[in-house]
Amino acid sequence: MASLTRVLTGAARAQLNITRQNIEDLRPLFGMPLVALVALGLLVHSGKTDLVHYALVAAVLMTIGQMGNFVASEIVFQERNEQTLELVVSSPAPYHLVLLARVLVLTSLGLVGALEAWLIARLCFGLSVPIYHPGLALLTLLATSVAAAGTALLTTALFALGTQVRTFQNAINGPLYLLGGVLVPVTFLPVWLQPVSPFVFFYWSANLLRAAFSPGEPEQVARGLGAILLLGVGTGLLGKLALSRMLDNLRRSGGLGLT
Amino acid sequence: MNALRVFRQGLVVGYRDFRDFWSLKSWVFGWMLRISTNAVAWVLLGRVIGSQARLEYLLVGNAIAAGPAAALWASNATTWARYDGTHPLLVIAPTSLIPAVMGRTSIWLFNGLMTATVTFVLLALAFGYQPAGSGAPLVPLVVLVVCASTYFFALFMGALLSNRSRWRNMALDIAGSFLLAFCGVSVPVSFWPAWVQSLVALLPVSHGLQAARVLLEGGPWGEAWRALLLELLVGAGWLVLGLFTMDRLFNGGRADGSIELS
Repeated sequence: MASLTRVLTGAARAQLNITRQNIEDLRPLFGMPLVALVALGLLVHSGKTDLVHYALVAAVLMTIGQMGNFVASEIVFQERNEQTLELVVSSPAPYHLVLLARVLVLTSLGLVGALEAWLIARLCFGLSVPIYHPGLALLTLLATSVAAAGTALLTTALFALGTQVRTFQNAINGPLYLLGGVLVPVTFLPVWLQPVSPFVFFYWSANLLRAAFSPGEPEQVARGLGAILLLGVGTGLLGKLALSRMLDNLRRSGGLGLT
Repeated sequence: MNALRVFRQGLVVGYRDFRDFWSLKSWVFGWMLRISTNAVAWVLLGRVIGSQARLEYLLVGNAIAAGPAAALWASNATTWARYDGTHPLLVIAPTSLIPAVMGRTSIWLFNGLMTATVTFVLLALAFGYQPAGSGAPLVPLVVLVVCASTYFFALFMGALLSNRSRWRNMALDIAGSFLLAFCGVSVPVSFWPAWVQSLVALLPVSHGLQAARVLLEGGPWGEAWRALLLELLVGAGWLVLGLFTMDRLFNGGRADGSIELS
């Protein structure tokens, strides 16, 4: 147990140091505020200030999503390029645990997006957006960053495999946000698309977060949080499997080696 | 004549760059899927707001803006010769470097044009949008002008970033988001504070988008031509600034010895 904690905290600390020296890792935190600004501007301009929480929910979920898909998913690819993969793999610590801690740090940094969006609403538009259920909002955000980390564990393994798969990286965010109802609730999607949405963790996250901004009693909280965590753990386990396969293949084919 | 030949060779390299990113299949099911789903989400927000006029405003804005957002990739492409190690070879070649750079990067202008066209058709079909204006057939020309002026802006950005290429992705993200946020894509430019409006007037996209909206809505032709002319002027301004900056930086590199084969 002590060694597990040491591996996780060591890897998390290493990721924080890497990110501190590479501001590119924080790209989503610089780009996403502008998404919040546009969505808020659109709703305010349309006189729909009762819906401004839609903009906040979209901004924070997209920031977490971008941190997972565009930053955390690059880790294995970068480690292969910089030949640090060989060093980590040859250490006695399980590679998937090292990666898990690193992706979790990055997706958790996406939570800063919530603060940014809230500040934009307050400072740029003078809007005070009440959070009626702060506990629910906090739990949902934490569960979402865990689910995003699970997904990133899978995608970081897949994206390291080849350029065609990296094309997939550019493609998935749009459909995931749309199907997950990140900006617009899925009830506005065509009926035939809606059954797919519950398989996307963003769907549950967006619903719970919007409920946290509504005065009414939120419904099916445990079910929603459970679904987010279940989808996150499920993809995380698939990621562990994909990583093991990738490393086995690299070992067998002599693909690991320092030059 | 020589410059044209160099431009053509640059375009061949640009095409190879493009194919490194996309095959026909991955362009359709990867790139276009991302762009169109993103645009659909914004248009649907118009439905949430409950206004058909707002929905159409978002549809036109997001469909056309998909083009300049794609053309902006040229700023990244401007820096790639540094990574390939071919920049010093281009510098010592007995011809100007500019047609080679423009040839290689202009492939992203064509990508912008295709992206906007396909997005517009997809959104129009999905939401049953039918433009009322008789000037609608001229909109592809406006889209070309908007993509071109953004491409010229991207050349300027790329020139500035050529010595600071580690910032290229960050700059692309921020510039792209800024254009989409303030240039009248989802919210009219007049909504933003006066200083933002003044800044936007000097940037690509907003004038052209205004021209396209007037043509699609059947507004006065004079207003459409005036907006289109402004977009052309803005584009020409960025082109001159981009070429000037490129020339200065490349000559500066020659003078201070920062260009070397490694």
